[in-house]
Formats: sequence, C-alpha cells, structure tokens
Amino acid sequence: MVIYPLFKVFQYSFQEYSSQHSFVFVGLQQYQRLFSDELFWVSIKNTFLFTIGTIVLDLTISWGIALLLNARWPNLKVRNFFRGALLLPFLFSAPAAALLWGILYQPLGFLNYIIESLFGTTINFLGDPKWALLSVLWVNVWKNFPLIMILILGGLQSIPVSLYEAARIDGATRFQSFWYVTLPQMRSLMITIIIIDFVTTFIHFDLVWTMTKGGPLRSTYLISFFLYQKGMHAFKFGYASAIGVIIALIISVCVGTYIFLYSKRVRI
Amino acid sequence: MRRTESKFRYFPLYTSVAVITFLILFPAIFAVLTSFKPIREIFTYPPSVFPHSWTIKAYISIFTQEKYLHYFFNGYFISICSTFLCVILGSLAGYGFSRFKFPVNRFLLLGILAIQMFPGVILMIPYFNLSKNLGLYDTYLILIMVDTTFSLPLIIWLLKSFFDSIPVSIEEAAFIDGCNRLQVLFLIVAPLARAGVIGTGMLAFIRAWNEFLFALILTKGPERAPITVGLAELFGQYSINWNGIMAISTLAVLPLLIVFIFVQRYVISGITTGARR
Repeated sequence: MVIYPLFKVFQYSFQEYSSQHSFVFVGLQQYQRLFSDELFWVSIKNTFLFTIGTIVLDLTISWGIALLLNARWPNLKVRNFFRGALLLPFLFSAPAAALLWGILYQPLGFLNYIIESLFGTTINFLGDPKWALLSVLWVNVWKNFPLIMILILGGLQSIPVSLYEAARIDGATRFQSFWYVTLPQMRSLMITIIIIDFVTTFIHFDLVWTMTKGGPLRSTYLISFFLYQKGMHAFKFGYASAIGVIIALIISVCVGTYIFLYSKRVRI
Repeated sequence: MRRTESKFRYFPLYTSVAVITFLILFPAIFAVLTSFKPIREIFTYPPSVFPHSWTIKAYISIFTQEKYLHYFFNGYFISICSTFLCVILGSLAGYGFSRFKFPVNRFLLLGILAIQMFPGVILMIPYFNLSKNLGLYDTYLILIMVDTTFSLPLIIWLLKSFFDSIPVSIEEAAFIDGCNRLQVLFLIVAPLARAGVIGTGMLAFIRAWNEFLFALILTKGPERAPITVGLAELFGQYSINWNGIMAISTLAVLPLLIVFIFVQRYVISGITTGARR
C-alpha cells in the first residue's frame, strides 16, 4: 500500500500524461520545467516559513504550558482536568478547526471586534496577503500543540526526582536545575519532536485547502497544495509526481536522520 | 520542602492555567454558543458571545437534510471499520514482533517507523490512478484501506510496546491448558493489555474520523464522502447560516469528545508511550 505507489510516483515523474490516457517517457523534462516554475519557488518559500513558524510557536506554547502543568500541584485531579481540557483542540479535524476559526476571523467577527476596540483598526485575516499565512499557521498551531504539550509533559515527568534532589543538595538555583538537569534530559525527546513536527507540517494541506485555497495572491501556496493543484485540477500527473519526488527527498533526509538517531539510541 | 504556606500559594498557578485553558478553548466555546443562536443574531455588530434567545433550529435543520445524514453515516462507518481493522491487524503484528525474535525484525520495525512518518500527500496521484483503475474510486473500501494503511504503523509500534510489558509466563500457562497462539493473543494477552488496546484503538478512530485529504480526492460526493469533506465544503460559501455551520462542526466533534472523556487516560498513555520509544 505504500511501497508500490511510491514506486509509481518515481515512475510518473519521468513521464508525461497525454490525452490518450497513456504515459510517455520524457526523461528529466518535468524536473527542468519544475525548477524554472516561479510558483514552485514561491510555494517552497511559503512552506518553509509555515513550517518554521509552526515549530517555533508549537514549542514555545507547549513548553510554557507543560512547565505549568508539571509544577507541584496540590491536587492532581485538578491538574488532570486541565490537561484533558487542553488536549481538546487535538480532537478537531482540520476542516472543523478551519470553520471554528473562520467565524472568528470574519471581517466583522469577534477577533476584529476586540482588535478594533484595542487598537482602533481591523485586520482582514484571510484576505490580506500579509496576514493570511500567519492566520492559517495559527490555526495549525492551535490544533497541533496539545500533542506536543503532552509529549513534553510526559518527558518532564519521566526525569527522575533524584536528579533534582542531587542538584538541590549541590546548591543549584531553580534556573540552574532547569538549565543543567531538565534541558539535557529532554534533548533527545526534543529532537524527536522537532523532526516529527517538521515532517507533518512540511506537507500540510488540509487547512490551506479549506481556508484559503492558496490565496490571496498565492501567499498561502504550500508545496503540497501546489502538488494537489497540478495533479488533481490540471491533471498533470507527471509534473505533480516530480513535485512529489522533491517533497519525498526533503522528508527522507529528516526521516533518515530520525531513524538513524533512533536506532542508535534504542535496541530493538 | 516547606509545606506550611497558606492556601493562596497556588493561586497564581491555578489562575494562569485556567486563563490559558479558557483562551485556548474559546473558539470551541464560541462555536457551541453560536450554534444555539437564532439566525438574526449572527450578524449583529458588535458580536455577542452568548445567544439572547436560545434555539435548536440549527440542529433540527441538519437532521432534516439527507446530505448531512449521509456524511455522518459515512464518517462513522469508515472510521469504525478502519479502527477494527487497525486493532486486529495491529495486535497480530505487534504480538508477532513482541514474541518472535527474527533477525529481520529490526529492519522491519525501522521500516514501519519510516512509513509512519512518510507523508501520504505525495502518494495522492498513484492512489487516485490506482483506485480509478481498480474500480475502487468512490467506494468505502478504498477509504477504509487508506485510513488503515496510514494508522497501522503507529498502532503496531504502540501495541508491541504494550505486549512487551506482559510476562510470557502467563501465556505458557495458557498453552499448557491447550490454547493456540491466536486464542492466547485475543483471550489472554489483549485483554491484559486492555489499556493499550483501547488507547491505540481510540487514536486510530480519531485519525480515521479526521482524515481529510484522501476522503477529498477519492470520493465525489455525499454518497461516500465522510463528514470532514462535508465540513470543508461549507467553508468559504459565505452564506448566512453560521449557526448551522457551527452546529454541524459541534456534531462532528461530539463523538470524539464523548469517547475521549471516558478513555482520556488510555489515550494519553498511548501518546506518551509512543514518544518514549
């Protein structure tokens, strides 16, 4: 189910789909055309902005909340309640999240009402090329961060208490014990999280398709949406497969690194 | 540690977490409240959070539209089938990986891990062509297969780690009593690893219920498409019935919410086990 279609993508990417429903071998032409396509570079740029922005925001928010939840709570039930409540965005499908935020993002919607009363101006969240990518990105972060928060929290809780006690006996301040105990213990988990987040965000498609369809002015054209447009709308299967191969190469580097690090760390 | 401070010591912690939770859940709360508003309150400016007069008209109108009943039924049908497939196949594979040590195990497990991280997006075109050629386009079967394919690697990994924690000696007793391998797996090991099986099954259900891309490209209408497609279609038709749209969104998340409340513990342990590997 995965290997055979993957092989197909490589095969298609060297071919041209003609109107007689057959494939003709065209060599590297598809790639040549792809690299001289301006839209390809636009979507690559947008995708990297989108991915890096998502990872940074995801990590900041998740770390903040995970540290709060990891503090000494007098009542664990209360903490677990909040933990469950904060996980809720994870349950929303991309289209449902898009609709939820769509109503808040309305030109005369609730967010603009607050912004107008604070700053006296309004933002056209999805209609302004300057804001559209950020608006979609924010919905993605909202939907994604609970998973990362739970992972970080799980990691924080698996650090042995004895390490902190040792640090305290050695006279470490709170900040020092965070810097010298918590962070080194979390390092491999953080690498895992960043790679997973990168891989899933880089190919993000759902929210862009639902919310902006690549617009306005191609400001939210992400690489997977580009692939979809070429493949499913223009039916340029060869061209779209060439895009697919490029994505696969970028992702493979990450997955390869991850698998390598993982197989070194854990014995199966 | 000093434990004699007043109760108010935890006040900043409680309030900050409560405020953050409220801000994060606000879109969902707003959506639910909007779904109970009558149509004339949708476009008032400044917008109000609470409905002045509550109504369930929006919900009634969904249940009278055949299209949405289709979307919901398809969503349930596909997700439930795929969840069962995932749990059954995942148990078999996870049990195999956990109990039999073949030299290729390591290679296979890493391969499965790679597939799990592999993006489905780039397989869009082969899947589209294959489903057309095999006559599977716009059928339940292809969607169930796709959902199962992309969830199964995660499920196998999780179930393997849960089965690893069950002592082999219990099984040996069952073998002496005359059970075969399958009976041991489904009557003894799986029930013992109940928490893991429920949690992973729930993850599979969430993933299948929320799957969007392949539902979009492999179906052509409400006949076979699940609810995610129905929701996506509503966006951007800047029609007036935001209350109806919010009602549908609420209904689309409700099943997950209800199940989640009951099995939250298992889901969280499922997720964290997955990461600690």
